[in-house]
Amino acid sequence: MKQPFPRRTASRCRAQPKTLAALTSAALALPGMTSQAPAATPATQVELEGGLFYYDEGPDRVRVATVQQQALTPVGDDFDVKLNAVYDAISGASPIYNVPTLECPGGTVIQPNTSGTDTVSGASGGTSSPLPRPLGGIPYTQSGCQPIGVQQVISPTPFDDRRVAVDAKVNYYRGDSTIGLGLGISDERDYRSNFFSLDLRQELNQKQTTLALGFSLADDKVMPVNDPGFIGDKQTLQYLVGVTQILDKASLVQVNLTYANAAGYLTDPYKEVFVLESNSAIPEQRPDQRGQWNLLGRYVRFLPALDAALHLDYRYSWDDWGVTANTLETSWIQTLGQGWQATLGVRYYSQGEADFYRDYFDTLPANGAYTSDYRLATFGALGYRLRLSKQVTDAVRIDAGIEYYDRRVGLALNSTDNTDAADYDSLTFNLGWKVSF
Amino acid sequence: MRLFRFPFRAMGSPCELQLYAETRHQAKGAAQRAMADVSLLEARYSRYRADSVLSGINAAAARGEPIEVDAETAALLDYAQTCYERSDGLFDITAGVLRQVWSFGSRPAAESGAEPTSERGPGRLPDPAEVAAVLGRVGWDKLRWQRPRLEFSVPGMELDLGGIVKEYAADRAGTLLRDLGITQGLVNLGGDIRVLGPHADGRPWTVGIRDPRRPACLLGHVRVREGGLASSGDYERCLEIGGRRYGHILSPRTGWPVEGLAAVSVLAPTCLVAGSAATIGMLQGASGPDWLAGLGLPHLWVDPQGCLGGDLAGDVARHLARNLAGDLADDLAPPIPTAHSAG
Repeated sequence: MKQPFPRRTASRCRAQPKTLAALTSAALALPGMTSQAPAATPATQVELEGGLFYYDEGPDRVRVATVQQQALTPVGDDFDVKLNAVYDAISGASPIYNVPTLECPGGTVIQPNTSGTDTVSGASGGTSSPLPRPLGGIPYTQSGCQPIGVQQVISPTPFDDRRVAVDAKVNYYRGDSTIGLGLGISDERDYRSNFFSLDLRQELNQKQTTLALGFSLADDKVMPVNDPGFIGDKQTLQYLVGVTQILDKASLVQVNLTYANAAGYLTDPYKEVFVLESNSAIPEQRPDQRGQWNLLGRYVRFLPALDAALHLDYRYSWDDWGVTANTLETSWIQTLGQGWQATLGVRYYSQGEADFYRDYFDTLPANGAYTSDYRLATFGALGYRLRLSKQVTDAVRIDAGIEYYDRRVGLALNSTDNTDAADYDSLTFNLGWKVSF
Repeated sequence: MRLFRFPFRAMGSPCELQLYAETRHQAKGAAQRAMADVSLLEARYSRYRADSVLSGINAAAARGEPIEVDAETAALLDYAQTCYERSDGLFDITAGVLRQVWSFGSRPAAESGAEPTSERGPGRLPDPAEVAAVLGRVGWDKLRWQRPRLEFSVPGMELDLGGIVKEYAADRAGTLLRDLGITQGLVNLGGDIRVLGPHADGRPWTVGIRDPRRPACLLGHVRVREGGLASSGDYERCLEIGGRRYGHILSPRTGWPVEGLAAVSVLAPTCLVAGSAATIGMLQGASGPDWLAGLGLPHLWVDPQGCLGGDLAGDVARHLARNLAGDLADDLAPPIPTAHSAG
């Protein structure tokens, strides 16, 4: 075909690829130009994601430093593989049990002397942990003394441990279905876990609805440093059924129901309970079975006028140990322009104690289940989270976050006389990066 | 998989969805949502509706008052600004006021997707003084746009998003349909086309390109597997006075119709970019072919003599040749003009 105009000259051509890039990026910034609900498809590029975390409960308590690295890569047209590695350095000391302060006839106050240890063995407290001084040789039950307060006994010997965990997950995509298979191990000096997971996601109703079914199995071994030769076994089976429904192009709801059944050695080998009757601390003991239900409701709404998103989560969990918990969490994700994004989150948590929890015990319960672990007590907590991320280039994103967590018995929904001696707060800092190729 | 067609009317143009789905129910559900989204955009950005977002902006512009806009409108204004900057000021959404002095009637023979022409009138050329006066109210550079606030340095300006919104609507409908699980089909809003994916058997879609001089005829076909195809041309409305043809594409620099090309079609990943590139190509006039070649998108242009150019021209020419040989069994087989005889 004859060209009616002279042959192209190169003069105007130089700047044009920039024009196309500028038009394309301005076009893609318009709402609705890119998919809101991308179909589940394998990863199309290699992604590396890493993070550094530092968790601190304050002086003389637990500190954890974590390095994490993750890689995601497509394999063929229908698969992707994700590899994840975590290294934790954990150190510090944690509470072992509580002792009461007693007021005895005549007005004397007995403060059990928890630092007058008899013997100490092992790194993280143990069965020969510090005993309080006997109450003048008279059992509490006959002394006429009354408890007027509670004090926490922290492990006198700080521990120091390392944890290494690696896991891999393969996803297979076929039409509207995705099947995921995961395997992993976690290893530290006194704990080893092997786990396996299988999940199925099915998109229905023109991808407006996603149905998820999941199953996982964890086989754990506990080898307490304070009890050489003992190995505790624990198996946890977990089942999940979930539905995600897209309501319109700016909002979705999700409901997940999870049931977990753990069986075997569920006791914490480093926790003890104080028994007034014998004026002594003895290792705690928990039932060897726990069935736990968890219901999650989530609402996500994108607000185009503000260029922001709102996440609202509510969780209710209950188990056959009598522990019930409510969690309400909300976060606001705000796009700030020039690749910046800020997330502000607030979380409220309230838990009711396990049936066999007491701050301390007058006498040992006959059913053989007893704990003073503050994690099984009644308490409430508030968490505040701020995260900033910046998309530096198309391929690189970095982010930094800080979270403050405040555990208070007084924040619990249930009224309780559980001690506030176990209250604490913590700070978590994190720094992350993500690179796509 | 079966093909379902849904013709409808929106944005003053005949429109159509062609969707592959397992059932009519599925196709219809998806089509209704896509059509509702197109109507929504029309309601927001039509300059013919007094309650539209655009009319709100233009009411403020008439008074010369500043106005704050929502995020979507802001993204459209950002896009318009990019077009203005990248076209050296040729693509200008403030140029619509020139219609106050130019009245182009629809060509009687045209059955194209022209917007309702409220300013239709007897053909006459404007007085150059009138044009110059209106030009004082034209120019993106007379706006101060600082998201989300828009200010007008002179009163009586007017924004027209007609050159952006139809293409944007086609892309949005395409994205919406894909999100609803329709991956094969196309959206055609008055000639602005977004292809979701090829026919069920893998064949690309055959899209006819209208002959700018004989709007009832097609020049030939372009094959599109995925992405956007949009065309710009002076065939929709024009004035013919004293044997001279004045196209409706007006230069915001001179206020007079641009000359040099009769029609441009561009293929791009999105219909919006295709449409803007085609419009800018037309506005470039005689330097349009160079500009389009430098842009790097597959395109086709036709000059007033009916000659074809651009890297899709070979494609069209091959189809023309095949049509002549009578071996092309397409559903859109056109009457056959040849490029050289058209002039």
